Amino acid sequence: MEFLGSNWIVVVFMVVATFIMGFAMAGISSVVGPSRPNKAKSAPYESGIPDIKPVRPQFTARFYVIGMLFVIFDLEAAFMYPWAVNFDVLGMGGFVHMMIFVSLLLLSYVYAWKKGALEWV
Amino acid sequence: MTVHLENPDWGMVLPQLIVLVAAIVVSLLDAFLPKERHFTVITGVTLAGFGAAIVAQLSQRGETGTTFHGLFQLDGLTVFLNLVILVAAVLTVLISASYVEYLDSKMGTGEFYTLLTFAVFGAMLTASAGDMVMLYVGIELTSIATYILTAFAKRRTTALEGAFKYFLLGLFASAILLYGMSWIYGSTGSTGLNEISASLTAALTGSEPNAGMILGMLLVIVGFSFKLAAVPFHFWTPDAYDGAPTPVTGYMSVIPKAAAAVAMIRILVQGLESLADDWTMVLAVLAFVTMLFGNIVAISQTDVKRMLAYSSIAHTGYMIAGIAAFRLIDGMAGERSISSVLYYLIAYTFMNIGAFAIVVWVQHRGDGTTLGDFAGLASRSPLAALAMTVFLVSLMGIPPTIGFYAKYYVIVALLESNLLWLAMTIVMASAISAYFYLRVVAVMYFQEKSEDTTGRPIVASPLLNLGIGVMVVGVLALGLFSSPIINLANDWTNLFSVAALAMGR
Repeated sequence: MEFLGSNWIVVVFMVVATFIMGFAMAGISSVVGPSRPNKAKSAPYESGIPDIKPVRPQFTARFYVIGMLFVIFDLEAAFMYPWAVNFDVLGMGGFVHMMIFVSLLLLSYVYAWKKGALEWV
Repeated sequence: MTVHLENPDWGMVLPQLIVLVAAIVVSLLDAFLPKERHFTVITGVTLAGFGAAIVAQLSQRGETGTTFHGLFQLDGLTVFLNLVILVAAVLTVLISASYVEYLDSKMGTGEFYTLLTFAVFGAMLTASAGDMVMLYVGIELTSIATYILTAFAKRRTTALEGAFKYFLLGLFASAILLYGMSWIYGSTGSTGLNEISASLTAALTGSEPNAGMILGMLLVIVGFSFKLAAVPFHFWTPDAYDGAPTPVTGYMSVIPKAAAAVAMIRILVQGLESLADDWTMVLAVLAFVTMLFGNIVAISQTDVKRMLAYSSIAHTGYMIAGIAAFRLIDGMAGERSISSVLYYLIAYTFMNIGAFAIVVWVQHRGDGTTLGDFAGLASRSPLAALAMTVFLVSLMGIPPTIGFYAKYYVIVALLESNLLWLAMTIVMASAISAYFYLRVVAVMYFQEKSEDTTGRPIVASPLLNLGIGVMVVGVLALGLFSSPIINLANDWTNLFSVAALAMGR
């Protein structure tokens, strides 16, 4: 394995050590530790209140669209701060670049609006 | 103090700009146009956009340069790959138009083409990236659009299952890829591919590569192998290909694969050329396993779509074998290796999308995709059976089809770099593949359909027939007249002169 270089012995050692450690810890506790199960302990959620309704209820997922749009537009607005602070220095070129960017944002906003993504049905 | 804003060379990015504008226009048309005019107008606009981009790309032939501070590089590789991607995109539009409108996925033509155009845009960015960051953005844009397209038939659970597997494993692959890129950045101090190359060459004169560089290289190879569906990173492929709507399967077996292949070439050949002795070895082993596995498992498939999925894994192996031939035995760079991969990509585009187009065609008649649905196709529709035979024979690699020439160029490149064993594996794998490709042909011609299960036939748009016709002609003609394509592919070597120029300034 010359093409991998001799430094790899360290990595191999790490991997072997990790496996030994992991298996040893889990193994020792299962061998040495006492095991006295009862009904309450074996319940999926030990020491909590019992389930009174299905654990996987359906809930409205409508908010995710708004959340997604917020993340996109909010993050993109963050690009405007550095430009606004340096407006004097960047001058006309910077203004044109930023207007291209804003118009792209505007188009996607129009798209989202027209597609009904902003309506809370 | 005034900051000089460098004005990018917009002419250099013209094809990409056209596709981007087409994507935005298509999405707005989707939102504003009345539903009944979607089919004609949006299909037309998409095709026009791709056509204009092809013209713009052809006019850039022979031009070189970098812009956007080196993020963007124009060279022979860019031109060729963008042409492959755009041609594949046009063919995808031709075969998917009526499928999306009438079959399986009634979600909307507009959304389908918006996603497709953005995916193509991402693939084109990958092909023209001069920087690892740009490469990653392009790959991700393609991948995310492809995940959604895979789930496009959202009422069918197999589509959702395939898309979900593809999505999770794709994210995993992206993380590994980024991790590898960060190791490369850490060892060389730059994300620009030309800078990485220069810094590696300087660091490696007279000394061994350190573990960080090798680790980065290996992780990047693993990440791209996921995206390329190379064994042993192929587990998502059969389910995703099987679940996706058939035209999408045709698309995702070509465009994201071409993007991943070009990204691999960009990073390994352009960036890590000094480590070629190491990565050619890894790729050779990867290609060996991929070819054998893909072909052997394809034997036991009874579904044509799934069989083509495994066959696409096998074809990934042939392409990786071409990249593995990069380093010649005396340390020289093999020019033919990458040209052979590029030629393979164009061949694969025509024959693979072609084969999926026939599956689409059969589905339009109300049939399914199993072997039984293809039984007796020759007596029901001789032309479709003939076209399918041409595509399968080409996938097998029998002259005079384009598939034969593609394999021939890869094998020549392998022999030049003394990888005789890999060349022999290609021949053996092709022999194995004859079984399952020819079985479909035999079923089409020599079996009768057991019972008439044909559902209500749906009229395909003439675009589908046109697309199949174009691909049959392409498969037969582009092989016999391959020299212009090979010449265009050979232009990829000017990548190195661009690199030298960029580092010289």
